[in-house]
Amino acid sequence: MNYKIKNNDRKYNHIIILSLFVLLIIIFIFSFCLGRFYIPIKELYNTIINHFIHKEIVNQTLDKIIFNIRLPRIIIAIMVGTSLSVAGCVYQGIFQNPMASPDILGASNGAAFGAALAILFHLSNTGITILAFVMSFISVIIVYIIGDRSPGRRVVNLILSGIMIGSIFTSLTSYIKLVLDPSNELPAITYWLMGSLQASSMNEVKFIIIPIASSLLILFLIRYRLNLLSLGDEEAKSLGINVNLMRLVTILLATLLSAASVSVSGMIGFVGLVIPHLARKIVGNNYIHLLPTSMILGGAFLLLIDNVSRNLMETEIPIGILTSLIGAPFFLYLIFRKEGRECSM
Amino acid sequence: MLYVKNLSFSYEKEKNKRTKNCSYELNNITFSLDQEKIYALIGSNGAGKTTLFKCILNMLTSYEGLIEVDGKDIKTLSARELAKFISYIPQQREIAFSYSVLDTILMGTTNSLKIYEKPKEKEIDKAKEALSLLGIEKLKYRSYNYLSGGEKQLVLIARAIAQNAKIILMDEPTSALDYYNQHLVMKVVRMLKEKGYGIIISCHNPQMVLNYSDELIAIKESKIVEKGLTKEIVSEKFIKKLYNMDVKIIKENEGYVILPI
Repeated sequence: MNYKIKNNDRKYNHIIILSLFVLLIIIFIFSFCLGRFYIPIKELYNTIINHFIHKEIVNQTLDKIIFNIRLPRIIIAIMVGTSLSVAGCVYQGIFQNPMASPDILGASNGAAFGAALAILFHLSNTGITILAFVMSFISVIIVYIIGDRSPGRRVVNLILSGIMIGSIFTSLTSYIKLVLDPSNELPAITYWLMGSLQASSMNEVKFIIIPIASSLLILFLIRYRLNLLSLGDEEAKSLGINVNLMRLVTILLATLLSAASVSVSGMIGFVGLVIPHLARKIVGNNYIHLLPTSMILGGAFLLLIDNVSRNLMETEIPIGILTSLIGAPFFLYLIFRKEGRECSM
Repeated sequence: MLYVKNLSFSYEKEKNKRTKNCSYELNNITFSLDQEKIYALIGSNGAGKTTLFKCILNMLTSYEGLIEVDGKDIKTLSARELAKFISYIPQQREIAFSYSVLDTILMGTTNSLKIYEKPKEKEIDKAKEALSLLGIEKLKYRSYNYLSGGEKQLVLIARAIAQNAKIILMDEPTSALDYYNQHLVMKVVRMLKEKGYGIIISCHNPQMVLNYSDELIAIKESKIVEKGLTKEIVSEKFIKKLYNMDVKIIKENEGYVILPI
């Protein structure tokens, strides 16, 4: 973004959001076709028509692949991508920090530790999600307090304390891995830490859809106020915002989003950092357009990457590896850009 | 409009309620503000000006004494209600995420919106009115962080106008500005006074205070040392007392010049 905000035109932003949504729909449809078992678009159409309209299953294999294997995975990819990027987008605003994201604030590492702990104690899926959420939240709060209270520059402190708290949780997770049963539990947690959507099923969809959908809905409704929070406490309060309540609610919801997604997908890095910045570049910083753009872009991005991870090689590449491969160079790019007077960054 | 009575505040006490013999950042401050006047709050660094602002904005609440606005104790008001009475203009600075000038000014209208609402035509009209009042319509779609210091200050003033609160607190509005912009901003402040606002400005520059303010509140070591009509108070002796510095004050037509010697 330069000197003049060219993206202020509301119509322009609405067109962008609409076309991104169309893009998401296209990727959504093609995701059903792609995979080890290729389904031509015509077959896909016939199977869906048979399933819903004629209420009969003509080709059992196709029906099973589409509705039991690919559908839950596609839904989870979209939900996780959307949640992570919205969480990052919200964290950036509340912490007034372009570098804030679920990874940098230790939310992911905390969630990973919680999940490892739950696996150690043989807890159910519900237990994994709850513990992942609690640890994730604790981690974000610790990072925030240290970053806020320590002397010096807040932006730097927040990032440094995030890295440190993150590595404490990582080492705790490593310790748990050491004591886990190496035949079953250890591979489970290792694979989980790499981040993968391979184990997606309808049970997982049912499990995360309520917390994710409700958090997204609330954040979407109050998105205008995120603009004011990003000005800092004093200004937000003097403009009539109940800062303490608002900040608590938004941090809780953003952390719920990241914890819920981490609990089904494992560690998927950088989505929460890269996508919000991409969205800022496209529609500007105003959350009225930024939040919906981040939502759609995040879902579309992760779904696209998941297709790559399923189809690129013989064996599936864990999606976390791919997002980090793409995200880390982008992060470096952001650090270099920081020197300039770039306003969205 | 605004009435501050026996206000005392201590950070030590805020941290530890049982502390006795603590040092006070504000000590027994009493004054009142009316509309259509410019008040200058002066005092050296660390005298307690910022703390006083924070108390009035309800950000520090563990003070002793009473702050009333329009006859209501501000502790009983919600942030939204208080924002209808008092607006705050911070020092201009870069923000983490820059918004367009129009969006920035629109944020001033938040207190008239419900929690899930975004600004509509009515609010946009209000913001545009504020823009044209200050003659900065051409900045409308510019990015806030790319404005000059003076322009940023004007935009923040426009935001306060859009907020439509009768009392405006300004935190060192001229401190980071060049000579021309200092006077431009102060002229805008004078115009706001004529529009009926009551304005309190924290300021470091006695000459600015002398030429633009109607009344003055001087704070030294957390206490009020002088208050009243600016022109009656400011003298060579007063400056000596407040800043421990010898000056000569020269009157020229309607204005004053303060010369250090």
